[in-house]
Amino acid sequence: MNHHALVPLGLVALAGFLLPLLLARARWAQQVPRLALAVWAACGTVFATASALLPAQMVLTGESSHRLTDTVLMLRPPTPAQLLALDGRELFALSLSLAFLSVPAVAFARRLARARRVRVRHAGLLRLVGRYDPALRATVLDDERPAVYCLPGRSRRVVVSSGALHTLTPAQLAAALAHERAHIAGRHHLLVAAAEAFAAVFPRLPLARHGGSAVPLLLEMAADDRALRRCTRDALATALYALASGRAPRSAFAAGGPSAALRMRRILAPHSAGHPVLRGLLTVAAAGLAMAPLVVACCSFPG
Amino acid sequence: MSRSQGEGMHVRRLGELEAEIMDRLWAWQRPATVREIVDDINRGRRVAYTTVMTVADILHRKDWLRREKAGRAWLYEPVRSREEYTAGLMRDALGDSQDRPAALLRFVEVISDEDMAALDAALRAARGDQDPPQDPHPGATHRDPRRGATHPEPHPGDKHREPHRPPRHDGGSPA
Repeated sequence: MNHHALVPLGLVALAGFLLPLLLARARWAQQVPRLALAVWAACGTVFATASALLPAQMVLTGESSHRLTDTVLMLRPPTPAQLLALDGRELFALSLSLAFLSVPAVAFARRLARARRVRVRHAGLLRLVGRYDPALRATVLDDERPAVYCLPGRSRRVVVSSGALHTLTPAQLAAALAHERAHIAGRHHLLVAAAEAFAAVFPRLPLARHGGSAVPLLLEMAADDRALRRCTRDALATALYALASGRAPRSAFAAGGPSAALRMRRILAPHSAGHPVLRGLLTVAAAGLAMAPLVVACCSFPG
Repeated sequence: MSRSQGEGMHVRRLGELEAEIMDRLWAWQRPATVREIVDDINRGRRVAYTTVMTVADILHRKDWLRREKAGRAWLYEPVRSREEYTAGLMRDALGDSQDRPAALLRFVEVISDEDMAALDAALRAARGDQDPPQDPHPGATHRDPRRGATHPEPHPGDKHREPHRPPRHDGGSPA
């Protein structure tokens, strides 16, 4: 253990605790959902990396841990020759890092695989009982309950129930379809799987807790924004209302899904007060400043 | 590349054939042999007996068809009705399943009474209370009474009626 552990420790605190707490409260996040999603994704990546480096820095001696800090801060990946020259303690540190990194990585991969299995099965059944409508570029499912959804990933398709076709006007239907296509084009299922994996692996971590509930809602808002390039606010908002009111509300699951009411208010009243992008970047920069003393400490005192 | 394209075509044809076989068995509502299915498909297009036999076998292995021996041929029959499969897909689509990996992305998630009331209020506020809904109790199954009517875009003045601090559950812990 030496002072070089301070940098990963600081990054863990920053990405795992400080930024998530700020993000969860930030008003700008919902005004610029794509920026907020990028910050969440960055937090996840930095947290996973830093928490893998931390145990390595704990076991390394001063000199080699200083080199590791250099490598990470300069984003200079080690050459194969350097990797071959590692001594026993350094190899132990490396395997420790990889083990820590593999925990969230494996959870993420397993979630993706499981979701994919569900989708493949779902798509197989859709081929049997649904019919593809070339005009809508969507699969129609014969059911009176209104529903619009998409299968992202390899078996990508947008699905509408015949109930939704009856309920929605052409403009509303186009708005809902545009929203779903935005999910597919943005590969939103990857971020959903990442958020779920973090929530499962680190259930008490603010990053996982707040990210797990914020990310799905931000993804919906990002898809809303993209749909609004092709449809009116009125069409999207009324489509949301018509589809939500067409199904039985259930209080038991109220906490589950992203809030439709928040999305609706946002679609109808786009208050772009202030400069959300600027405020977002300032938040990140201010939080990042907290790292400066730690980095300076590590760079000034080798050994 | 041409190889993978060829395989893609092949897979798609097989998928279509699966649907064609299931469609016929569902329509006939009785067990049928591969010969009967082939003859019926052949009225529209040419398809080889062995191909249909293979696909019927695949459907049997996927547990979509059950079969029993009748003389020297197999009699095939759907395990479930089309409606049962559709209902299963809708359960996934509406998010009713308990076990729910994020396999599908839905336009609207399952919604609470409270959210429904908020939706109603937001829509009404945006329209400036032009025509209040007949049903004061939101939720249940009432349709948007304003749907289909032509509406102007909400004008700028309206948005100040919006409560400016909506985020009550803005990404906080699900409470």
